[in-house]
Amino acid sequence: MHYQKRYMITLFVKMLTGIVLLLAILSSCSLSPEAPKKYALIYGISKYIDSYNEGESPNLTYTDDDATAVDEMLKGKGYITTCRINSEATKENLDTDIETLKAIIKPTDLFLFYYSGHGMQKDNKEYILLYGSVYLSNGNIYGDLSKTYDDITFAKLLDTLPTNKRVVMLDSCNSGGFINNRLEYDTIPSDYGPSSFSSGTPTPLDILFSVNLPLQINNYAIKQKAIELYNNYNPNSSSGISPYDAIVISASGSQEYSYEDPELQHGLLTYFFLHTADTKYADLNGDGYVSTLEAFFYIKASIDANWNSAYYNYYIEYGDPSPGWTLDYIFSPHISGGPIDFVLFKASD
Amino acid sequence: MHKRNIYIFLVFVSLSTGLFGETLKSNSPTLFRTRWFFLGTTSETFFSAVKDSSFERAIQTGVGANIFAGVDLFSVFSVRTDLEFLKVNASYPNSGIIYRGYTAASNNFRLDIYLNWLDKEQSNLNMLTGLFGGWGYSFASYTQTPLIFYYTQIFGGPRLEIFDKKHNFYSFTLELPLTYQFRRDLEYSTSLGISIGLNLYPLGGR
Repeated sequence: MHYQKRYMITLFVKMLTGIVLLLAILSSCSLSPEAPKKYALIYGISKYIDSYNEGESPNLTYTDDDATAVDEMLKGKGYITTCRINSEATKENLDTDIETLKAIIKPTDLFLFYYSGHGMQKDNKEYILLYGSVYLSNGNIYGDLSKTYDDITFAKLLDTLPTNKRVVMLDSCNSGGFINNRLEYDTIPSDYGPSSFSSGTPTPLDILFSVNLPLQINNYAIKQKAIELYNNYNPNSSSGISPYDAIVISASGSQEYSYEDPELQHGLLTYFFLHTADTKYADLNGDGYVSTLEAFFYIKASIDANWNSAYYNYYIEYGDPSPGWTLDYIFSPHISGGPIDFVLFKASD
Repeated sequence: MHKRNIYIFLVFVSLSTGLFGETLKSNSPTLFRTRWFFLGTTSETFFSAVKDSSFERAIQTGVGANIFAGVDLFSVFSVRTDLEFLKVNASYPNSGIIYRGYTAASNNFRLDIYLNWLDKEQSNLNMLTGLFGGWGYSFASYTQTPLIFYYTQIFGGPRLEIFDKKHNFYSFTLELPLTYQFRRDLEYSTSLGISIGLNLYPLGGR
């Protein structure tokens, strides 16, 4: 009996030693934390109509400044960038830029596409509006969607790149429609109104445990939806950009607008994205790097704290001055699902 | 894919049984008294090996805790169900790739088989060795996202239960759980851990 007891203890010790050794071997196979090379295409359009001033509808005001600032920021973080502003930000140039990159980008490199400008939704498709897709004729504004990309054709364009490390960042209206998750249910609605903002605001406990909205796991409908997605999983479905095509960070949901702010002189997503480069708080897990997910969380939390909360408080105090007015101003960024995250750059000290 | 995973699980259980086979001959688990209803809690720490079809594999670490309730059946095995909360950390960046961390709430169903009762007269402690295995499902949320997803899992491993001869209403457990998660967007996701637990027997035990 004594022998058996000793035998069992020895056996457990041996098994533990084996596990520790195995894990030590597995974890020793690490390479550089960052991707070997990082390429970025940056497109920003304020002036869709050249004869109109910036800010004069349909022109925007700060979207070209967004692109210039992101270009500078990414260059500073080691990216090889191509930046196209206003009349240069055309579909033809985007095709050319992608062709050029196809010849030089390697499977281990990171590719980032950034866009700031108009976005729209039509016939269950979402579009970014590149230069040339909005034009003036006889004093009227028209659209030509053949001169831009929708979510499906853009996903196909991305697939031609020889790397799987792809990030798409869209500071435009309805841009959440570019995200097409296969397994994950997004608990932020595509139209983020005051009620979802108030219920979705992370509590101190959420932030402490770095979990956002975990309590919605108790929602039966959400659980049913998650099971349905699991049972009907199809990685090759052709609608939108799947998490296996690229990680998309969108400024807004598919049913809502995004905004630029005269005080900040940028689109809100872009303004807080620029902050991630020079604040240590963007590196939420303290590993020394800012990932797509950390950038998303920082941007979303900042928009909630600095923009949505102001409109929410206004709504609580004064109600809706006209139907939907406050609803329109409260919006939320979204991010793709999938098990993988990419390092964007080294965090600021 | 699922068949292959079940096969891996069965091989693991078979190998574990082989390790304990030697002691099974000399002691019968029916020597001890059935403890009927029991409940308890365990906490565990584990390492996960994960692999996406497009990227290199990585190691993730995690911790978990659960509460469970179960019944002994015929003094040779028990069944239980548990509610478990897991926190899996993101992997360390490697070539620009990170496997996302997540939190998960799971419900598991488990069968324990008691193999050997080790009693030493001079000692105040008794030990019970055995194996466990089961199936469960999880709802998880990637850390820092509002994205919720679902997966199922199978698990198994060896267990050691330690009793105090003077107090038969509790025991401590040490287990080495091996888990395989059926994550549909990963080539594989498996974890190996160590857990310690406290079992309580409101109706008395061994």
